Amino acid sequence: MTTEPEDKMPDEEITDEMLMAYIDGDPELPPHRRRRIAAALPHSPALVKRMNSFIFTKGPVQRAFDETLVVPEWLIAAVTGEAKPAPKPRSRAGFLDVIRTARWRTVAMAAVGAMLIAGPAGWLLSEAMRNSSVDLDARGVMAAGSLRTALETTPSGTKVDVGAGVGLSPKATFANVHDQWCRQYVLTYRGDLEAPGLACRESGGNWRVLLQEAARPASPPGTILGSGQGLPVNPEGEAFDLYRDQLRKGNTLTADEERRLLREDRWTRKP
Amino acid sequence: MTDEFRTRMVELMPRLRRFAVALTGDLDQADDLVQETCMRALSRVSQWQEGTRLDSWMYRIAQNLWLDRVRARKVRGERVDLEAARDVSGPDGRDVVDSRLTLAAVSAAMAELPEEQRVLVALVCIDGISYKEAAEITGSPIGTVMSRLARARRHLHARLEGTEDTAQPTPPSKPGFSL
Repeated sequence: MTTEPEDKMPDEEITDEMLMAYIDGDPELPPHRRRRIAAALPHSPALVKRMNSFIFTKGPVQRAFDETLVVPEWLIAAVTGEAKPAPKPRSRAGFLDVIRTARWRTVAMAAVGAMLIAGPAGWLLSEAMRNSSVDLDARGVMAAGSLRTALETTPSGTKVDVGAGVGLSPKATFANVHDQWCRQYVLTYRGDLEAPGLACRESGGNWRVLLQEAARPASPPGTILGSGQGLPVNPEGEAFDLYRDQLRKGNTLTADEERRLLREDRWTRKP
Repeated sequence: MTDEFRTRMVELMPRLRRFAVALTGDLDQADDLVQETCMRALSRVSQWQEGTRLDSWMYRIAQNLWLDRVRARKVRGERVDLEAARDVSGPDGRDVVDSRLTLAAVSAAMAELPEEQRVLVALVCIDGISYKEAAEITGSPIGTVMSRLARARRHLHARLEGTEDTAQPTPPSKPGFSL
């Protein structure tokens, strides 16, 4: 068996077009290139930074247009040749609405862009933010408040409320290649929305959110109107698993090992 | 044929309207473009080959109509009138407000893109079609599609998040670019 030359490709030769194709799930991206990118990500913050543009424009930018999927009745009537009803009068946004929502939108967008994986909605995280459950710094998003407490105290397989209607269910605890403890979790909202994520505990005790997929309802609002038609296979689940597997060092902790870490060692023991 | 075609066209209208808003940055102009596109498609229904993708065909019509307008009148200005979307009702009032504001912000950023980049963002990022299909619709080589799209997405990210454009160090150009 010969080693494919691309497997040794330096990070600087992973082009933006390759990163974009990786995020978009382009079927033309050869598997060995996909594996190469996945393997390089955990070791290259510069690569992750470059990738953020493509994640951002695949999720939040797309979602911004969801409301335009609602076609006015008069337009349908005009095309079908039926009687043309008068267009609805349109009202303007109130100034207070702009002030009230702009802050949260800015925070949510900053957070989403800072993550490795985000989906079409940063809203779930913005819900958590309203409850002061996350902090932002120049490098991205950190769990704070109830979210941090939940990550530090909740055994895998159980669920805890972190406020604003958001629940956190840790799924696994493991060490990463940087000798940090990490937890894979799922954020839940309204009982029927789920958003997988991954956070690791840094040396100073902060929990940095490295991965956060968007929550997806069983039937997204735009679906019945045509949203998503023609979409390529969503690669986010695959990218999530690849990234997690590249990041992980050793096995997932057993329930007993995890219990000792949470209750006795209180995260002070090094992996 | 025409009735069936018309039904399929109406089913496409939500996506076509979203595409038109992304191109024009203005709801009124977008609705005009959708209407004109549908009328043009109906008048040329004999040119559409059954079994081929209707959405790609109509996007191509919409794109050509829009480019004709831009060339003729330079219609796209600084104005981004998307607050008018307020009359769209949603299941959660706050979500609607958040979404609408984001639409205005994104549209303002997209207005700064050259037409050939904006249409690619509309096709690939917003509608979700493949690079290959986008290349067919725009009549551009797939390598050109990808480089324009990557440039546009870096710009949008930098513009909307206030980050620097993270363009990679340009590797030596290779003839016959491929993945």
